[in-house]
Amino acid sequence: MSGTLRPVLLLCALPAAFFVAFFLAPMAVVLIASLTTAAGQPTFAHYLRILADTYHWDVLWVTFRIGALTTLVCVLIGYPLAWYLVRIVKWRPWRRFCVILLVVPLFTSNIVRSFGWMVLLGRNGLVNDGLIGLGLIERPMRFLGTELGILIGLVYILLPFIVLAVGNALAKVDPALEHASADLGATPAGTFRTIIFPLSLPGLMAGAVMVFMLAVSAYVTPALLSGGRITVFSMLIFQQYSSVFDFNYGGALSITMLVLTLALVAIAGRLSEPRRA
Amino acid sequence: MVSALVRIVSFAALAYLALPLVVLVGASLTTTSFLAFPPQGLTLAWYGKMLGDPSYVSAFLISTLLAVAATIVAVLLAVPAAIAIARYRFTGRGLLSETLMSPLILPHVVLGAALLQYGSAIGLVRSFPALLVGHVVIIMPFVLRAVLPQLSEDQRSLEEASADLGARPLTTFFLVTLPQIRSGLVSGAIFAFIASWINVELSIFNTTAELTTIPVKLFNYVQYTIDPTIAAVSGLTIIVAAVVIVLLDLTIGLDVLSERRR
Amino acid sequence: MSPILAIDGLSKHFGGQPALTAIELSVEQGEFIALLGPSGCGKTTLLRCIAGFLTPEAGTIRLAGEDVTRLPPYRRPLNTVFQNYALFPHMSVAENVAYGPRRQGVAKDEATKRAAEALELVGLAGFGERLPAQLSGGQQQRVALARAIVNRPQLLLLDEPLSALDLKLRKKVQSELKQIQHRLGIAFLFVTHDQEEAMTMADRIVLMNRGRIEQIGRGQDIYARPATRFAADFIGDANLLAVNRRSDGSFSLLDGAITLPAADAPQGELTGVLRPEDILVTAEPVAERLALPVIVSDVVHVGSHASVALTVGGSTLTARLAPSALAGLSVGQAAFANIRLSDLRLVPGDA
Repeated sequence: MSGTLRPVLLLCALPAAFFVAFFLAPMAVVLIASLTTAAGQPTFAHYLRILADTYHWDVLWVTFRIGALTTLVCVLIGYPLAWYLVRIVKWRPWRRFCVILLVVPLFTSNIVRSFGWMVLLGRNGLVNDGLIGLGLIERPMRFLGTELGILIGLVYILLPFIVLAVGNALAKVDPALEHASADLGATPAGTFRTIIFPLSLPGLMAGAVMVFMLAVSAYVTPALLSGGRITVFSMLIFQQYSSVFDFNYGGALSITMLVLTLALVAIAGRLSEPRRA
Repeated sequence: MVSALVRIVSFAALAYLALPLVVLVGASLTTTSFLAFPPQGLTLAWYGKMLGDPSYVSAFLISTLLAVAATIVAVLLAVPAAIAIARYRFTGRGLLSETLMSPLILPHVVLGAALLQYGSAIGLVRSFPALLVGHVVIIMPFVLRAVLPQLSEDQRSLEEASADLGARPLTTFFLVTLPQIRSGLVSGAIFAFIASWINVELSIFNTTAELTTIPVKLFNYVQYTIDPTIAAVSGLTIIVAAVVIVLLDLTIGLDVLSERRR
Repeated sequence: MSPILAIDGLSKHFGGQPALTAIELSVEQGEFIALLGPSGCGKTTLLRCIAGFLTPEAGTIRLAGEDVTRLPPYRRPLNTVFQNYALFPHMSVAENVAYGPRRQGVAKDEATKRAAEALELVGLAGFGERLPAQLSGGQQQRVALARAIVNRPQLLLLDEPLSALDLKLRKKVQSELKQIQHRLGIAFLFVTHDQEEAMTMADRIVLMNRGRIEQIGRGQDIYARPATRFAADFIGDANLLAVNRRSDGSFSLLDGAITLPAADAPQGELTGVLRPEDILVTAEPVAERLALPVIVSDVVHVGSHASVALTVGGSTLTARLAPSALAGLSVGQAAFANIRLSDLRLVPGDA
């Protein structure tokens, strides 16, 4: 132990200190603030207020419903797209182009991406023009300020995560396993069901968890696409810190969100754990 | 049949991914004073207007400076931590790596709020250093995640060979370890840089009218006004992102979805 | 009895490069065949054509009389033991072995029962609940075998199944495989690049080179009567001697030290093949043999025998002698290499 202690300390002291000072300490401050009054007295009042207020329950419900729908749509679109990129595309330049197309949005800020949808989904935006042009609707539909609008924006922003996660898992499936499955009499559909899908499931789960968490904690996209008509949980937190200036109550909201998200991550992690005999 | 369905979904999804980017770049070229797509006429006037506005130029400079500084600090902190985690067995090793990775799964709004509250207690608010420490915290996991897998066991034998041949630890690091982890370090640093460059949720708590990053400035602006200048700013960030990605593809290769040889 | 596998005129190209050319092969029921050749000779390509993972450009593959050339792998009544076993990592050993019967529509209980029987046959009874990653290499190899035989295929293909095992384990598994093959009476088509493995295990060896079959036959027959220079060189050790065709039709070897009469030898370039153990090295010429004056240039002891290098003019011959025959031979000494002309074979191919 004494042999490794010195180099470990040398290597870790600075990063650890940095994280204690600028990550753990701030989080601790928030936790303490959430459990105290403005005067510094210990209290559970902030949490009780969250529990008692049906408005918060509504916001939570909306937030998690949007998060779940976003995840579902991302999975339904993302799995086929990942399959297409890994299994169907044979022409490498085209796949390269597709991967670049998938990654460019990740490298531009949420704000730019959401702004694009603000323009597209407006009353006279391209989407409404297109739908009217196709004769599918007669008058412009309202997207901005609806959950559908937020959903379109969030799916757009989070789709690349799931495609990359599933695509990586699919690309790693050993072709010999598929050959073995076919050799043992499984049809292509049977091989997909019994071999490929189970082997890509950890990637799918990891991608879905990531998408769900980012969707639930998203701030910019809902803020821009809601037009002030829909409130999600992260907006409540932001309001407390930027306009209400109630750091104690804001802290309780932050901790609530954190605990809910981490609990869901833990549950999903348990579900997607590889089996052990 | 199934394959046809997969193709249709995929083409639709690819179009969906491309659409906002194409629309923004297109709309930034319009000659009208409102956003129009397809653009009516072609002009770079909005890009000119943007570059003529000192507040945009300063936001671009601050964003760049912040991202560069945060990336450098994050690399300097993450690489030693990665070596310790990969090479030594010590108490608290798991805790250390999980703590360092946890900003990846933490809602940024929560962290931003926490840093603001904590910063007001210790006098570190609404300043460049206040922005910097927050950015370092959220981008360090990207460097760590890219470097850790490259510090493999095979590599360890190279380091032992180096030590056996008489190299001191620091010499071994620069001559043996660093060249082996270079590609991970480069891609990790690029992802870290980008994560800082595009951040809104964290920065927004610590910016002011004078000290603002480009995403925050955009965010505040589009909530009130929409004109082609915004499209030009957005267009510029899209073009920068596309250039970085093409460079990344040419240098380290982005073809992550290639199937294994059959 | 009709052959279980009949291949006729099979050819396969990869991007214009021929990988298999005009393959003709027939395998009888219960036979153990080794597909032997250096890497890149086409033996694995041939195996994959038979299994159905590759479609040949020309020729037919018949299994028990039925043309399966264009059938997908899952419709072919044969199974494969893959090179790196290809065990499904997310399934237990029992589930891996029951996979085949389940795909044939066998009920779960029955499939589980058959899997247990197959595992017992390969000596892994009681290992069913484990995951493949929890087994040793030798055990994984047996699971792969159990999984491939559980459906009782008429033909079992084995793609270098022992290459991942260490030497000692390989010897043991070789004899086990042979026993299991006897007990099941299934024809085995076994790909290997190891000539010793092919010699010890196979009833017949199919020797391949550059996408063609060089020779088919029992191991000892190929050794005694190689059909080509390649066959002579690949199976066992051989002295390969350049052959000059004289104007009168006779042949000269070793710069005229040996003359063979004009015979019905094949056309084109020829090579003389002389096995090392067919050379007697003595201080005096031996009667009824052709005695070539030589210089002993090296003696290497290899346990049970010694390998002696001999210089004849500008050429070198290698002889294999029992240690007792070495008495009185030392490096640099003049001696006689005594050979029988009947042991010297002329085969097509450039020396």
